[in-house]
Amino acid sequence: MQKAVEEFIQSYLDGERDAVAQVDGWILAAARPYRRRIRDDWEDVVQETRLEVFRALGRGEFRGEAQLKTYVFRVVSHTCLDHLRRGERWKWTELVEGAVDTRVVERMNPVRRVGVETAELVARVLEQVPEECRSLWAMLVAGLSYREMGRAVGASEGALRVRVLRCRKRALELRDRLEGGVTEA
Amino acid sequence: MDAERAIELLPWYVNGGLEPDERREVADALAASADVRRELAEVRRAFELHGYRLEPDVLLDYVLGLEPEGVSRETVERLAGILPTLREELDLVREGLEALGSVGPDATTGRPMPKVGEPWRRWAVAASLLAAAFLAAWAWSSHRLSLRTQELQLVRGRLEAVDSERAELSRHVDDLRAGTDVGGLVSADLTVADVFPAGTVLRGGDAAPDATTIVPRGAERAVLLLNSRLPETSRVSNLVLRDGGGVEVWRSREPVRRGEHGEFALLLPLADLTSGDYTLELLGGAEEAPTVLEVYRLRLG
Repeated sequence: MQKAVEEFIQSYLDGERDAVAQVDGWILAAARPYRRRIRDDWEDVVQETRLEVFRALGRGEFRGEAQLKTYVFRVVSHTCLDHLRRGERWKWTELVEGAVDTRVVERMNPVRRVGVETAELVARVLEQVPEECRSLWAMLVAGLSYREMGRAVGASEGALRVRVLRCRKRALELRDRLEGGVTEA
Repeated sequence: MDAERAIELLPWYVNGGLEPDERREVADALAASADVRRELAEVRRAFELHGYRLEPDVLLDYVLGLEPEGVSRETVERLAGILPTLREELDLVREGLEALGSVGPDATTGRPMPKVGEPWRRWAVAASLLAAAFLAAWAWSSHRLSLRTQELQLVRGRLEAVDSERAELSRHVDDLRAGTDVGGLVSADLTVADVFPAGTVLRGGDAAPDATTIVPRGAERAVLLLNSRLPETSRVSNLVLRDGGGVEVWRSREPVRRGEHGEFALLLPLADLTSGDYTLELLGGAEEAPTVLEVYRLRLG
């Protein structure tokens, strides 16, 4: 790492005004686009990012392979994306009430779980799934209720539930059929 | 509710889109029917397929013009064309990069990124305007910078306190594992609780799915020793604490580590938590889509 960069990092860690202002400017700029999605939590996430940057630089995790600004951009993006993804209810909802022990469900399921899906396989499966099915499942992933979805697609609630069920079966059949013949680039 | 209707409602049970009454009915159907439980596993597979996410580093490499590890740029583009959530994430990352201006370096080569060509006169005019704006904003910004510096000092103080607390906890846990000085752990400001996961069967007794560990609030902090039934080979990642309403109140930032006897230790700051019921979830499994491996029920009070 260049000596000038090392000195700049040390200045930042020592709390020198110019260095702090420089890094904080990068953090705020890179985090700004997430503001409309993160809303009320944005200030907290920015603060969390400052901590991450400070901690990482303090531990010497920046090794000078990229420019410092790019490194900060990566830390900011990671923190903001992690925060966004943490808010996705479908990953946790079923387990909040503890009604089902997922390990039991997984043992009963004869097909391997999709958790280690490769990107290429997902792309191939979803490219063959009808647009209507992708659209319905995108709404489900976004957390819409069936009443909201029924209004959005102009279908009765009963018809919508059956359509979602058919789409689900079709996508998973495709996935199981394609699995095995796919290798990632 | 019959099994057929419960199966139709499972996608909304998983995405949280059911009314409380419907949700309870689906939960009852799940408890009663193996068919419904099998279908739930299939529904989760479908969510993982349609809600597929690429690792943040893949998105960052792609936006920085690099070749992401393990995924081709072409695959990223195909997926972005199909998955609106991925498209949105890529847009956010791209906007962040643009907002930084000429971020400059290619992450691997260190070469500056090409700048958009502009006639030098435009730059001269822009520089003059910027200089004027800078002078006007200088007094205000210097005040802001001073605040930021103070803020950073506070952050540093907090980090030092956290590190010191972590070291203290490690010492206590080491003592406990060594079977020494246990008496010293239960003090005015620290208590220890042995916690078993929901559904644990102890010494041939009945399963106790709702077993709740009561943590007295007398001390400022509690060391929870979370016993686990997981095999040693299980991959664990984080701990998540939820309040009685299921709202996440805390999440471990670093992967949790197993102790000598297979337990996980957690320092709970009782002074920062209100009395009531909490659920502690141990997450793990597949790295890209962690699931809840153990659930611990706690009551503070």
